[in-house]
Amino acid sequence: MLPVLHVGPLAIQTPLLFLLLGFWLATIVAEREANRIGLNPERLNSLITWALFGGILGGRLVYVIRFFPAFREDWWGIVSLNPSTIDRLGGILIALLIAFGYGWWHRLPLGSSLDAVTPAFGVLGIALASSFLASGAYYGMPTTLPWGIDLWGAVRHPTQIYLLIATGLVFFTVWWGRASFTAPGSGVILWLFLMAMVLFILEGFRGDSTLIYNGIRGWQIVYLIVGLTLMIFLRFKWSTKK
Amino acid sequence: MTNILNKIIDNPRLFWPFFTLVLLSGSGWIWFSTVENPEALTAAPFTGFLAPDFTLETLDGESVTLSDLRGQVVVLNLWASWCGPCRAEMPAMDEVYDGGSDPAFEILAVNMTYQDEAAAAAEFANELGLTFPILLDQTGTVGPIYRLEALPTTFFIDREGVIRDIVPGGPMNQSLIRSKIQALLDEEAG
Repeated sequence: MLPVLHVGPLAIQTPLLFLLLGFWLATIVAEREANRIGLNPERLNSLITWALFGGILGGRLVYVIRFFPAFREDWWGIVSLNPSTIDRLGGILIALLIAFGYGWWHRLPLGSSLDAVTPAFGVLGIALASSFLASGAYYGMPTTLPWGIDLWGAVRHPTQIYLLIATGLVFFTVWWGRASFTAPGSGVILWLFLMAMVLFILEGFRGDSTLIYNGIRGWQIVYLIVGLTLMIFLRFKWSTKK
Repeated sequence: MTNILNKIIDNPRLFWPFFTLVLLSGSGWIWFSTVENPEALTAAPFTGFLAPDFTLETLDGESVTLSDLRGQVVVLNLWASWCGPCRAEMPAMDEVYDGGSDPAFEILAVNMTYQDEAAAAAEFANELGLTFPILLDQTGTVGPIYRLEALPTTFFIDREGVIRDIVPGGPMNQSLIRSKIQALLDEEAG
């Protein structure tokens, strides 16, 4: 765990650094994939840029709306550079809306465009896992296993490392197998399916799960339903024989 | 691996048994990983854990214990007088504190006196006319137990004494502080 990297007088937040590095690499990977698939890489780059900035601004807007009375006495707070006042879920939803809107407006083929950005999603997954490892988030349950790590007052499953390895394996599986995806959109569905399964399994080792009835981990049910639905989607929509 | 998956997906005689296997083994994993005894709430300097307790003296010599403030939302700010962003965010904190007019929340500004000087902290507090309690960490108690990596760092603690949000670095503005406090007050009121 290394939440802050001290470089001279600067204290750099490592989780944020990993995410920024991930976005930069993801953009490069998406451009290369666009070239391979035969899409306009500049168009795809613009889509990512619009979605990214739209997501950040949209996330701030949602946060301001949620806590409007707090901003009524401090209007400058709306344009503050502090990332703590960004609504993450709102930002992601707005980024997705902008991406789909941009693709629709410029008549980008949905399936191929999603396939082009799938490896980029994979890179972002690895970056996110690395940021969890740096910050100590996504921590595991206490364990007696020899590979447990001392974190937050207990020896715990190193769930951040499990996630890092799993996102890496999923990325390489999709990366090496992408030539065999004949139907547009099958790459992104396969990545989503594998990620749903990875998150489903790893949820069982987490120490910060949201518990519902009788100690059942709520997100496990969500991930399993998503995974099974995507399997059916793959079978009926993107089977290679169709 | 993708070739194997393609074969399974393309062949209904393989797909449905595989689907059933995922469904059954998945249900089994949900049952197996059920949390029978949720981990007792322990103290650690991270969101979701109890805020590590401490007792420190204020600039006026008054003793303050964090756990005595249960029932109030607490903004715990770790700072030093030589730290620019720490100094920059103090007026915003004082504006929000408004002389302690709202008993629903408290602001504690812990000066890292073991890396600073009590006189410098007092001079700065007087210069700005700060009204919230300034605590002095003379012996380096709070910094290490909160795994302080950068100054300033601010912890937002709910009425149960659980850390709910951490803002590393600064300066924070009024709207940030107000919104984080409001989120905790609204949640618990609801």
